[in-house]
Amino acid sequence: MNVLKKCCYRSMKENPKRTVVTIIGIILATALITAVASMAVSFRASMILLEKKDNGDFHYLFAGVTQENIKYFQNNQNVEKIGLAEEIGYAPLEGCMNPDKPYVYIRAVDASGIQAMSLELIEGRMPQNGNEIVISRHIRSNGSVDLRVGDTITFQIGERVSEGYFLNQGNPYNNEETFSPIEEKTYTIVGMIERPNYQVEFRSAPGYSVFTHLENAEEAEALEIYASYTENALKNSIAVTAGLLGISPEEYAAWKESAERGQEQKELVSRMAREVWENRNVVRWIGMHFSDATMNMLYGMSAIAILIIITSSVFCIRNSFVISLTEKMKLYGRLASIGTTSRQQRKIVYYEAGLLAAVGIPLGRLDGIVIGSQTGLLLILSRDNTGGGSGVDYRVFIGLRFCSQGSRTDSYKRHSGKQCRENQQKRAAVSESHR
Amino acid sequence: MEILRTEHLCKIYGEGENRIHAVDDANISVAQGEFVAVVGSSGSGKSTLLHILGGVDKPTSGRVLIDDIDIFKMKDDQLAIFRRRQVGLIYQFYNLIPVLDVEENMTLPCELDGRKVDRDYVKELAATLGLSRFMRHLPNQLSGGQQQRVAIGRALITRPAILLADEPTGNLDTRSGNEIMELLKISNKKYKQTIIMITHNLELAKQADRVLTIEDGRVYCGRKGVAEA
Repeated sequence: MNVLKKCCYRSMKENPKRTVVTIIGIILATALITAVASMAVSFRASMILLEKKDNGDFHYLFAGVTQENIKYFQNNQNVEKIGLAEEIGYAPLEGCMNPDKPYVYIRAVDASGIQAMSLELIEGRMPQNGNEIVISRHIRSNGSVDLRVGDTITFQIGERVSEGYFLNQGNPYNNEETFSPIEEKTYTIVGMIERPNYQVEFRSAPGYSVFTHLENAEEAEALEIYASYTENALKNSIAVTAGLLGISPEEYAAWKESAERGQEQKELVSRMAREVWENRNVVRWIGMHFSDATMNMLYGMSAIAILIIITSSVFCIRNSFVISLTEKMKLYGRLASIGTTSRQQRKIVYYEAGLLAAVGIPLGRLDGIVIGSQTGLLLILSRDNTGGGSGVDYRVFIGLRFCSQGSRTDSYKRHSGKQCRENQQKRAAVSESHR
Repeated sequence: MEILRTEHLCKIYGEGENRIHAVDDANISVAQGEFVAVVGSSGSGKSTLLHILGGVDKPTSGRVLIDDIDIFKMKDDQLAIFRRRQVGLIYQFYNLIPVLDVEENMTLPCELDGRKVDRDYVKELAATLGLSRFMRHLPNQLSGGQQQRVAIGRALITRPAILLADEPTGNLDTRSGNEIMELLKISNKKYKQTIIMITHNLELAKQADRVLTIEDGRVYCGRKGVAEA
């Protein structure tokens, strides 16, 4: 080993306390930096998961895509996966007590579509053919219609019409509309799902969502395509979406931005799809596409956080080194008097720093990742499942989480079988002594 | 042959009324193989002079030429390399590296230079200095005299042009101090080593070939009042 490295290594070995204190300083500093970074990453990842749960696991929805145009989505290098759904139609829901929601809205969906819509099964199973359905939980809780898994039900399937226009889930129920039945179909209820997220069923939608299995996608006249883009495609989502629609990126961007769409603009898109909808929150969190003001705020806060972290890290480690400053000055001074160059002196410093970092940084990163990812997840889990904030301060959860970790260990000891038996024996011994 | 020469060497500290001439217009010439002792009272500037001669400290003005090379025209790293090859320094308090053993301390200048160590020369030097049995010892396992021998060995390992000793016996008892002086004389005779030794001990100084006196920064040759070196 090079003599300077020997000096350095042996010097550290001679002073284990000082070395350990310095390593602890490095661990703390690294853990701090890593925890903050992990928290940010974990927070973002958790937000993406939450948004997917709330809004669906897809990037773009193309509604009303005709059979001849579906091929542009399949085997497309920019599209990672697609979920398919076919609009079957509305059916009056007999006995429904909610005057604003007198229908069920039936859609046929494939396995990918179920995942894309983030449908959550709470009882039974998903339909496996076109004669089986799953119903939404809120048909019972909201509509007071007592339908259960295993029941058979016959629906009069048709369309809602008002003033010559067909209505959809975006049009709330009004007394002026009429229902035009088309066919009758009997289904077996094989499962129940949680109330779908509001992107699948608006709060004001007049039909409770009911899903059957999409059996023959190639025979459907038109389909809803829930498309998930690849990572690279998502970076150029406007260009990719425009490409799928067969229009220029500028035209698509203008179409997207305009609040009121004229006939010409509608026709621009309708060659490929009746409607195009971006799952904005999911796409935004994946690509971190926020407004300039938001990004500036995020960058500003990040810069301040990083500055504070780096400053405190430098002081944390510096204080550890200062402990041994006199001794180090003596060593470096002696070496300098013998004739070490400034480059050699720097090498000694770097070598010592490298040795300390080799131990401290991996341990610090491990701590930081554990702490940061847990905290990031907690911030998200503090929201309740209905999508609104629970109002509970995240700090409460963090504190509760760490307390529960300790109490869990303690409660295990108290309630484990062995402890129970011991307690019984003690009580028996006490009872015996009282007799 | 002249190995070291200084020209109007000055080292001034402070300004105005607090101005101190630690070295005042020193003009020294030392021939190769000469053993020169520099004596002076405490605060006379002898250590300052030695440090400037060794390139450890920079003068305010003047030149130091070792082997006809103006050492203060070099850049810092060049000077550091020159010092470890051409100048051997022995300090009063040894300044050994505490975590290196005797052999490692002695060969340190060669290792810093990245040169292959002449093990035969190391053995010979160790034998001359009476350190053959202690090569694996650490400095804290040696007596003061033994540590100073190691320091001498380290200073001689590169066969420097000049050996500078700053009160080499100042921290030793009389017997050890005499042993060190003997070793310095041996290296002067055997290796034709040029030595400049700082001391406040006149008895030790008399053992050198030539004695320079320094008082208030001015260097005199032997007798005070004769500023000629």
